[in-house]
Amino acid sequence: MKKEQNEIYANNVKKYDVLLVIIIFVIAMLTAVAIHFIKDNHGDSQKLVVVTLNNKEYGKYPLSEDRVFDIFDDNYCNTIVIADNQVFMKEADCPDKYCVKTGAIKNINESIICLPNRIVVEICTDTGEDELEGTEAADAGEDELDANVDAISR
Amino acid sequence: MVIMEDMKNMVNMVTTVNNRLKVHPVVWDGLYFLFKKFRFNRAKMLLGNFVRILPVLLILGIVLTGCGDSFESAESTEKIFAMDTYMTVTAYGEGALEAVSEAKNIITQYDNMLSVTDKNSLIYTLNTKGVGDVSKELIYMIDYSKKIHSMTDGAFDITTYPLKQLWGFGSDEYNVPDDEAISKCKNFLGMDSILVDHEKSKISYEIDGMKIDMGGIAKGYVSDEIINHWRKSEIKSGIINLGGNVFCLGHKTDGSLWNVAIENPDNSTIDGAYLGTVSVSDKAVITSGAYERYFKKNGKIYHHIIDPTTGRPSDSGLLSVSVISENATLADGLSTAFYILGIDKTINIWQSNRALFDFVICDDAGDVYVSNGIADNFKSEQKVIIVDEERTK
Repeated sequence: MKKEQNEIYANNVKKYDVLLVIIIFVIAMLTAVAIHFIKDNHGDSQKLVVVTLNNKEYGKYPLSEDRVFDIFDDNYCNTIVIADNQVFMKEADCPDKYCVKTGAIKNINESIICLPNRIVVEICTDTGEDELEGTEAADAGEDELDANVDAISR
Repeated sequence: MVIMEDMKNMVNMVTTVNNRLKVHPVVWDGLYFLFKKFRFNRAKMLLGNFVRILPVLLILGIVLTGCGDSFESAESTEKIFAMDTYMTVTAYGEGALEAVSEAKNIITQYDNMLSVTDKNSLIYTLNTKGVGDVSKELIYMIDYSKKIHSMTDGAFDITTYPLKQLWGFGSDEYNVPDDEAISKCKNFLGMDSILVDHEKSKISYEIDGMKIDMGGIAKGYVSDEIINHWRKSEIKSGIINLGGNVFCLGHKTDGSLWNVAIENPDNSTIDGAYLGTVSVSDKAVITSGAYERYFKKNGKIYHHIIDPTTGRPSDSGLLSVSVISENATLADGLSTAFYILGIDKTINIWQSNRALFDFVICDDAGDVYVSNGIADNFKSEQKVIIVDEERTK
């Protein structure tokens, strides 16, 4: 009796478990491929101009859309211009004017900083989060160096 | 045995589809255990068990390796206005959040200690009274400054602060002083006139009216402090950028080197945003240039790096000096000194200290010089002059 049961058991086990193994294997493959795609699919994201005021995010604007806007308060007034896929600080009422002297920026991780008014204008990738690693982030045909920069020393 | 081979192949296939996943040793241990059991027990029953365990093993393998991956991708970033500049600090992996808040504390601590304008800072008190009890850290920084001072023939000098004030740097009331005012102000120079009492942790100035400013190495020193703390708390990957002074800890989470671009000075004859990109791990990349802090008067540009021998903004023909080193304090001090010294003296100093640092230098003729220790890891669209042990220029 016991021997028969074992045989039946073993046969069924073999058939269904092989099937189960195949199914799980397929799922595993699909998951691996999916992970691969999710991780590498930042390729066609666009560049964003991220403006930070006093450590808080003030706004995000696509670099591809031209616009002019002021950030102002009782204490400060800065004019930011986005044009021709570049962004620059046109005017500022800070004493040192380093931000205006910085000129136009267009590459990922570049920034314009106005210390007295605590304004930071940065170019980031549109990944939903401010990733420092802009690995696959450059627009096609852009400067090759731009694609792979983690930080800028100056 | 044939089944064993198949198993191995299957596991291998799963893990090589995405090369970020690797076969976890536990999987092999499991297989070996089964293999041993397989030999000593009756076949049929075990075949059943074996096949039943297989999915568990597969899942275990994927979860274990996958988990490691997701731990590593934990990331925390903080942006800070401090030390007269803008800083970003990013840590990766387990404990990233704590690491970043620790970094912020360190930055604030040294900002408060080293500020030349904050009336409560150690440096302010020292500069007004000419004597004071100071912290161990400040003693270390002053000793280290003296080391860099003698290494660079006096070009690195923390006592140039009165001269900087004379030119208006720091106060934004810029002016071009006359020769008499400059030579008077040069009397306040003297690294040897900073007397250090190591036992009592005390500093006193020999010259009345002399003042020091740690700005030349402060950011480098603070990066070293942060990285040391991170290493102690087993942070393996991170990048800090203190106003353009970059330190890269370990490797990126995908195992590759960090890429640090070196900004192309506005006044250079070279096209493009960057001079090039250095790929590094566990190194600081610190650049000195005068293209950010300067003022114009009567069409002439006056920048903030004062040459202690002339008392005027340096004029060595260099536009930008980047120093790459494991020691950020050293790199910070040297980059300023080399900017003052010019290319020939810089090459001489590098040739006798090749183990300590490498450099990337851009001059006003549009030439880019790179020391051969970093040349293989420097990518640039420019023609680059590689400096080796023998080359004089």
